[in-house]
Amino acid sequence: MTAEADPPAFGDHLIRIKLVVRLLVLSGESPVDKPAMTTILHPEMHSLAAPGIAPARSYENRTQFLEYFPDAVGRGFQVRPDASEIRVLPSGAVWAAGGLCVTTPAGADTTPAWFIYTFREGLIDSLETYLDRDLAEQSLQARIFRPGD
Amino acid sequence: MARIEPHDARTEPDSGPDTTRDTLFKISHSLLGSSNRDGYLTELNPAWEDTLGFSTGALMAQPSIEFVHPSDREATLTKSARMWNQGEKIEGFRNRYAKKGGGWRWLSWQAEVLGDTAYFVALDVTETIAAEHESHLMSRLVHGMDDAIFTMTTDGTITCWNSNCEEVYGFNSEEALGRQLIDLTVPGDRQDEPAIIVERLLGGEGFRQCTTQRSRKDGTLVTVSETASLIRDEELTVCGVVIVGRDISDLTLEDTEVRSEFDMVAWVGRVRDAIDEDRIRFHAQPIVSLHGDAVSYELLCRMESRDGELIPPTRFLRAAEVYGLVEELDLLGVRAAAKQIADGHRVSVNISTATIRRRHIVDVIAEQLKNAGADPSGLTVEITETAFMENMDNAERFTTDLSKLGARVALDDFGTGFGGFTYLKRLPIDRLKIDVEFVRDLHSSRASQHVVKAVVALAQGFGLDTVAEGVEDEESAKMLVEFGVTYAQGHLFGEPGPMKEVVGKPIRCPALVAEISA
Repeated sequence: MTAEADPPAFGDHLIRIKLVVRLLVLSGESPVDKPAMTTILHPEMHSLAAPGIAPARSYENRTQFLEYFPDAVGRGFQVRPDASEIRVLPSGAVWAAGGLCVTTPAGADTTPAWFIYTFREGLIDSLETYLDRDLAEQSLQARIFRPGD
Repeated sequence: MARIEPHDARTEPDSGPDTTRDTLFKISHSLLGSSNRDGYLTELNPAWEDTLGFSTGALMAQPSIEFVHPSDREATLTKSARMWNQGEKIEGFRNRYAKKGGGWRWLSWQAEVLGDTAYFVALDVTETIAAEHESHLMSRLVHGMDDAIFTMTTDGTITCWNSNCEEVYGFNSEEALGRQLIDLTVPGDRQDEPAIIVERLLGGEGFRQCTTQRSRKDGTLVTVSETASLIRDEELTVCGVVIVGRDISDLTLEDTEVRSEFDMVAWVGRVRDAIDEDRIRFHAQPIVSLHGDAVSYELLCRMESRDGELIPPTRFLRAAEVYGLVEELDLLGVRAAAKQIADGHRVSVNISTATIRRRHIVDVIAEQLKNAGADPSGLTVEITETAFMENMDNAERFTTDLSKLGARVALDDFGTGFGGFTYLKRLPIDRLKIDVEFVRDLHSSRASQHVVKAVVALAQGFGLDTVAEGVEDEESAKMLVEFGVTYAQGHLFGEPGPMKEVVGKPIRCPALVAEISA
């Protein structure tokens, strides 16, 4: 992470945490409320998925990302994310640590997971999901955040 | 036909008794008789009773119009009046007469008035009219539909060809009738399809909306969806096949080809023949350790055509899976692997979803290894992630049994499905194979790097090895080492080839392997 980004304005931290919490909650619903999700996700958002959770390497825009949920349900899966720790990094990105409860035809299982969110124009611009804390931290280290992230 | 004349009032010129005429009158299957101006039948031969069921007495006891179908009465009365009043002969007039017990018979009349008597011959044409209606209806159906419809004998000779066939295939009916379908519209590489259609229909299977390609008169190919049914005669004997075709060229060719059941059916026969004629081959591809261990091999199925061409599994495996041949292919792979393992090599084979459903499949694998004198620990069985997810119970039983046997299990194409990590905790899996999709663009795609790193992290968390498939360049190989991937396979290290040319031979990039191992 670099120190290039300006610190978020007062109140932005709360707004970002609120957006992340809202996304976590909406992602765990079935069926997902797509209209509600579109109000918090940037149209050009992208998402890096965790292997073993989603079949795609990445989702390149909001439409693709929203398709993941009904697709998973159609195949008998539901993934409900949860977070026990959410904090806003100096760059403005949000780090969340928690878990993913995956319900499959064979039963449910929970695995630890880490999430990194960035923002653009007041909306969530990217979401990365990791099943390994080291990887998540390495990703943060390697990322160069844009001003306003 | 329409007026009464007393029974004994026959006044025809040659009414005298005549043995021959009387005999003919009695034995004729045609309905013979006479009527008077009052509309009563006056004399009837026995054929009337045979045809309508009423006695001749009953038929003559009331005006004949009473026996006529209500819808035909007006036309019958008009025709009768013109005969009586204007002397018109009746030729081929048809109406329906009641049948005793219900129902109607169509009669075709020939009648003429002589003096005060009308003489007539009527023929029962009910069957003819039904056939005409059916024929007319069929004609309207065949020629009025938007689809190309043709019929052929079971040996493929075209017997009917509607106008839409000309639009779809380019040949008119004159050019098509009497020709063999395979000579007219079936491309060279699909010559066995007409026989397959007939075989499937005779076997009681349906043949609906199968996508295939046909040759047009101008030499171009047209993609059509075909549905076929058997044609049977009244005794239910098969006398031909009707095929309804629809031009679906507008649909994505690739899409229709991939989904083509027709293709699958054609491939099933070829696979069956290849198994029976010992033309299934297994090529080996080296799997190289990125940490300096020994090389192992993945056996990949190929089908050799009769002219020696090697056909990759992408062409026929789906058909083999759908039509129940894949288990035989899988076990041929295990047998081939067992021989190599007995010679001291480590070998991986692919096992399909259908095969792991078989309850005792691991016993069969164990027997094959034992027969070859192979140590089960030399065998790695690769199963796709999606195969696992399709039936977790079967997957669990299969992997547990394999593990007890001492063989290893690799999850193929890992990372391409939903929820895959959930079974890593429960099942005895030894290795995750990272799908080629994530490896191909590894050096340029952050998303692929993310997946590969994440799979490695996941595997390490569960104590599993990882294998990267489709490694084609040194840069990717070095990244894989950096990310902690355990094994790699791909063209960089060796292409699949006949086992005797690959197994135990040097790999392609020994210097690179030495460098990255160091």
